[in-house]
Amino acid sequence: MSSPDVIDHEMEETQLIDLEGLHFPPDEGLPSGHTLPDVLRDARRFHAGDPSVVSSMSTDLLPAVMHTLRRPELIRTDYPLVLLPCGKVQPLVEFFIEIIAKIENSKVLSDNLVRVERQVREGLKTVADAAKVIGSAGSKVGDMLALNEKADHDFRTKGAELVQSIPKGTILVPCTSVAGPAVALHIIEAQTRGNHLRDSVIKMRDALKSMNSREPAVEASGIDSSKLQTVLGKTTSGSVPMDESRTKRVKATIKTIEAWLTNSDSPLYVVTSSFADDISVPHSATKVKAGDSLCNKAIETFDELAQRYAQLFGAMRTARLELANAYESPRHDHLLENFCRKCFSDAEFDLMPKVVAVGSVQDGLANMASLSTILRSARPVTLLLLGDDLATLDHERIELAYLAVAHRKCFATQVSIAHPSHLVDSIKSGIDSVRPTLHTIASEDTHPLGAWLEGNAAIEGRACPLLRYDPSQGLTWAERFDLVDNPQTEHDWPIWTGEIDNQKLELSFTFAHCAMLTTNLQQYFMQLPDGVTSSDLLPIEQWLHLSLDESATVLPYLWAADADGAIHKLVVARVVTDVCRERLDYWNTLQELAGIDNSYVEQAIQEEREILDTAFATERETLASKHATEIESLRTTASQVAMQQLAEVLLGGGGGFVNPLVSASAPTIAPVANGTIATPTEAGEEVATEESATTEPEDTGSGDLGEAWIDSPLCTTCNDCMDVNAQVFVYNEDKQAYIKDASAGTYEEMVRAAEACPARCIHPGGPLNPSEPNLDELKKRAADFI
Amino acid sequence: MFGLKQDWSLDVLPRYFTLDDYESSVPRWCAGCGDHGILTTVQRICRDKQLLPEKTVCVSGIGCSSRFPHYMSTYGFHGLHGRAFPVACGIKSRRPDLDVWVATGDGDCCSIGAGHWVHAVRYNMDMVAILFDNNVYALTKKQSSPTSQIGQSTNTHPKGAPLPPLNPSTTTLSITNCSFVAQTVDWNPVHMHETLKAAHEHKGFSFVRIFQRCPVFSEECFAEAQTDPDLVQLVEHDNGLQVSESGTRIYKNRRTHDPSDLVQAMAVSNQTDVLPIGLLYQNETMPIYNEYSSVGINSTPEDKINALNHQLDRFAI
Repeated sequence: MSSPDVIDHEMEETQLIDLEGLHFPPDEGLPSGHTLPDVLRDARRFHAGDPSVVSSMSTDLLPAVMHTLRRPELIRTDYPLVLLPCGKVQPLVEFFIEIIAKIENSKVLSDNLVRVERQVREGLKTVADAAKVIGSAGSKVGDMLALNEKADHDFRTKGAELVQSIPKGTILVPCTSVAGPAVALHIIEAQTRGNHLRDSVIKMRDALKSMNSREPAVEASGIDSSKLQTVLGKTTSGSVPMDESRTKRVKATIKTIEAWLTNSDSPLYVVTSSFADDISVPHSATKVKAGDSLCNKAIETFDELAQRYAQLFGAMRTARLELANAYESPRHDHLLENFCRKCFSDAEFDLMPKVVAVGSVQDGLANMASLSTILRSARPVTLLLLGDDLATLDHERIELAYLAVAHRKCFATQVSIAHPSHLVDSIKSGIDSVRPTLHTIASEDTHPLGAWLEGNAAIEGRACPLLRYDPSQGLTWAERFDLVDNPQTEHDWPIWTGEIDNQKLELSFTFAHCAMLTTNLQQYFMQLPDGVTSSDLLPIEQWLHLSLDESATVLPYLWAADADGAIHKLVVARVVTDVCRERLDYWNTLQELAGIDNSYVEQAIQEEREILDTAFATERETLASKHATEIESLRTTASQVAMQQLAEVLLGGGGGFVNPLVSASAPTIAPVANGTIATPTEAGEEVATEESATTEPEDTGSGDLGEAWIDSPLCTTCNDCMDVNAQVFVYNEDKQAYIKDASAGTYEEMVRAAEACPARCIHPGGPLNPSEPNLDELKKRAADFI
Repeated sequence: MFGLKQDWSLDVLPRYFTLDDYESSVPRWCAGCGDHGILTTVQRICRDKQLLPEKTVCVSGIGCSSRFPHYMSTYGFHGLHGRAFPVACGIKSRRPDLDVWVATGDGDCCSIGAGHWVHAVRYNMDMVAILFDNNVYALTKKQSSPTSQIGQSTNTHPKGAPLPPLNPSTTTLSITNCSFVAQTVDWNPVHMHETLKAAHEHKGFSFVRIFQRCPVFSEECFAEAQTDPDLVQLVEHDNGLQVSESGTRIYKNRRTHDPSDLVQAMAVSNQTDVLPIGLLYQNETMPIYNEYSSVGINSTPEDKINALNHQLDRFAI
């Protein structure tokens, strides 16, 4: 069976994929009563959305490249994720590798950890204690394996050791919609534990109190410090009692600090919309329910905290100045009286409790004004907005992350639970940026294939491209914006190369492939009878490159595999291809922002190319004109010479017979070694030289054999001449030999190459070096190749 | 692709086998017999590869080494003298899904079983044939075998075997369709493990000659080589066996040999002053007979009748 996208050329820049298990179904022809035009007519009507033609797609079909992933329970993903108390997040398999390395003589256990891993994955439905889950899974595996007594003992003993070595408080997170908030809150909460603000505040208060307590003691001694200083002289150091206003300020500062110390703020405030009310938050966090006003509540929560912390940070700054004896009333009074969050340093923001708002993308869209307020403000509030419409056919979907990027000053990402390393990196970078942060988290988990495959299909099919915008990274787009972790970012769609039935096949993964995974969108795909081939059918990735006019006459299809591995063509309805175009447009926009296929660069290249082309064309014309003139001149001279000589012969004139062909055409037949063409004057001189040679027989070097040259079009590219001397003989762009530099070798080599050449297209001419030995013999040999 | 790493498959059996699971009764070989080490090595390979015991078959003929199947907790067939190969070929022919190991001695294989040996090599069925070469008939108390050395005193030749020994490796190499020949010594388990592992991974008939000590009836045969590593020649190549340093560091006498070179393989294995160990020859392109003999094994009687009818219907009388 052949198909239009079966390719036989060397494919570049694509990635190989194992398509084992796939095959073309036997070509059994069209169903009886159907002709190819009938099939294509129905397909066109289906594509156009004619409701009378219904989808006939088998329910077991998957995009061909996903055939091997048909059983999600047999796929090792990065999940469950292990959240360690130290804040570290790692895949279970990596956690096992690290932990098993510390347990000695654990071969039976380590060999079976893959089974434990699988058992954990199958049993884990929500966030749970790691030791408990792993211990339970281990027991089940032990029971299932029914090992002999010794092995069973080893397995269980070492298993218990493994469980004991899991740090208390370690939790496991499954690949479900809870993963995004769980991972983010875990990382943020762990980061707040490094916050030692309270200790610093207490130290500061104590120092202030100590300073303040020294004052009454001095006064009680009855000694006037200022008078004492007068007596002792200005050069003598000594303390001066604080003035009344300063004492008052210090006391007020202590009071402010102590007031703050009586409060017990949580290190983390998690504001949740109704959508996220059920999420679990870390023990140390305070949950704030926001109902439908997620962003407003987040602002409110943050501002309340900021107001309180403004008093503290103001007091701390005052204390620091006082302790350093650097407080200057006229300068600092005004500054500290109006101290608010806008005056906070990054370090002070960092010391504040964190405010994280968790909701859905819909929550963000419903509160656009307040969302925008957060993103353009200096409030380092973190927004986690979960999206589950990965393969929607909504043309008007608002890309919140893209919208957030337009605010320029905020940290914005599009992440996915299906790519946890990107998720973790983004969360950490968001914290480090100390800016308003928006993470839109793709987290659909209702698909039968599971959240991992669904999420990754959305990434592969550009339905949900990952992006990260971090203004902290620099001033240019190249520094701030990246598409890292998207597959094959240089392409419109990821392209995979594999073999089916010994035929190379190039398979893309488009939005349509992603859409066909969604049950309620499968009605937009129609399975064609096996064996249908027509120039009216085009793989969808190629079809999408056609203009709207061109695509009107051709039908897009994609390859899908059934449970047995047979692959079939599915025609894609226009309602899906329209979204494909929209997704491609969005992806191309992101590519440009990331510097991939940037249109400005392409334009600049095109403009530069046109300038160069024009210049080259002009130069070509000039040279051609000059060449034509020279040719015409030569032709005229040659015919004059020929006529003159002919006249001399016929009239019996002196000078003897001169072959007019040799004398007139020599400059054109035998190219001069340096590539120039003999001018008419030179031709005349050669005639004169030849005439004079009859009177002066002395050998002048090349003599009458002319110069070496190769009849390049006859060259068979055998390498024989290059084996003789690769400096003299080189290939031209047609890979046929020519003489690049005759002086780079000896005459002997030239003759030997001529003798070796099977095409006999090398003409060695005469020797360049008259002192080379055996010239007489060599010239004799060379004479055979004139 | 799809965020998956190379080791993405969790398609594992719900069973796990330890070394014990491949052990059967206690071997009754003499103390110090090289057969013990060979047995353990095979069991380790089975364990490491988690071969299903019920899908593994050990076949043997007659001799000390041919007790091998008794000590493996897999399926086994202790055959007649010299008849290990026809039985093994019969098994593989119709059950290509089984892992077949053949244990045969220098007498069993190279004398009475020589005819079957030749054809088993030519059939090139996917199995591992281990030749336990101790240069003597030991089970029957020391008679000369085809590989007995000149002058080796046995009960059949008390004054010493008069003929030069048959070389099983050169013989195997000379047989049409030969695809894998290696040699190792039973006293170097590291090397032996890698040799047998490579043999098992080879697609086709893997012939491994193991120089095997018999401490009772032919002790003198390999005693010197065991104590003087220079009498062993390590055959190595990038395409050969990759044995860890621990198994090779004692060998100073080394020879580079490309295992795709059949002529040189003959020269290497034909040396008489040293024991060459390593991969002598490998060619995975040779036809494998069980791929032909097993065609249609899943056909039902109805399938066969239908196929027959289909063919007969093409003829008109």
